[in-house]
Amino acid sequence: MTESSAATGTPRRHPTAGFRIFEGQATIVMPDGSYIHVLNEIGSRVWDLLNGQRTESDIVDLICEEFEITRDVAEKDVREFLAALEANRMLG
Amino acid sequence: MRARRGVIPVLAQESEFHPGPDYFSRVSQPRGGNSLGFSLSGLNLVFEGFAEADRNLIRARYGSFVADGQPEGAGRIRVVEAEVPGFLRSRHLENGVPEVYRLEQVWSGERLTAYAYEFAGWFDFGSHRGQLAIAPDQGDPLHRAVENFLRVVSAHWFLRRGGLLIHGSGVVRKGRAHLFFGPSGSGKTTVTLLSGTDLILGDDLVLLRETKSGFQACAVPFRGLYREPPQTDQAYPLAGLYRLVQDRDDFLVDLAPSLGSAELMGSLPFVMEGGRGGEALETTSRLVRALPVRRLHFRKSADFWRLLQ
Repeated sequence: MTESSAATGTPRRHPTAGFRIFEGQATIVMPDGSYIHVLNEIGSRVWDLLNGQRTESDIVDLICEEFEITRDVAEKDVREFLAALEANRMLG
Repeated sequence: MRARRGVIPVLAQESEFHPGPDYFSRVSQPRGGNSLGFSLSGLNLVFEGFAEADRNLIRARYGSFVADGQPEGAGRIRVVEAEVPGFLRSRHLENGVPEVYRLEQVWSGERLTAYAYEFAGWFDFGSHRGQLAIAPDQGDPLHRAVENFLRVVSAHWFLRRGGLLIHGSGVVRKGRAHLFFGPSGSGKTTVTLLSGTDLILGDDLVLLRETKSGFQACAVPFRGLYREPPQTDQAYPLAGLYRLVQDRDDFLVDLAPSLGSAELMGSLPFVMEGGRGGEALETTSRLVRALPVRRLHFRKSADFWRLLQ
């Protein structure tokens, strides 16, 4: 079984996901086309950072810096967001 | 019972029949010896193998979009007898309601195979060749088979050329086209009925195509059983994109491009479930950058037009 990028500690977007970021908000289409996802500004930035080279901790650092939120809040939000992406098979 | 795949069943069909690659090479009996050309905004096809009644029916239905001659550079579709009673079978949804329609799509390279209840067909977007197998008459399957096959081929054809076949209605006012879209029941047909003497491009499907001077809207000949044929085959510059919401007041809400793009993709038949969501996103991205999507809340009154002038 192939290990997901989330499990390796450097999560990345699913390679077949199509996405565009418009004015800071991402629209994402998965290849089967069943769902179209529109993310808010922070979710869009996290999505953009998921390049398979950053750890979850790296992403939390950047989100804290860019959006001026506390680390506790950022950690919780990023963890929950990544879990939702994993559940929707949007990580690869 | 498992669905059969790839062979021609010889007994009465009890289950779904999903045509495999071998199926189409085994069915070669044309329905007749007549051909008919079809042209829609650069999509030129010749259907070969229609019975005379088929040809007359399609000619009457599609009017100026069909002709006896062969359009320039036309692709070819061989029309054959399916030699099976049908393909998919209507299912009941979880709530017990029969499904409205179902169409399966399978890609192999440039070749798209599409099949539904009454037809199975393939079209190769590289060679522009195809085949359409039509199940024996049960009511009016010929019209539905040809139309649904053309809808799915057209949707992918125009997407590959930067266009979009949108589930929506189109109205031309003062020489510019307004596109209204949304799910069934949102008011697409109502808008056309409230548009008086304006030119109606359609109340079900409208083609958007990109040109050097911007996006244009034009009519397509596909429609329900009892609707009028298109009033025009001309293209009109696109003036507005409106996601319809029936409400107690008339007002407009600007949608962020991310939402506008998503709303448009939600109104694209065939291409999203056909695995072409990425291409659809590319085109809708260009479209929303050229022309923002707005949510049109409206009452059942022509007053909403005052908001669109």
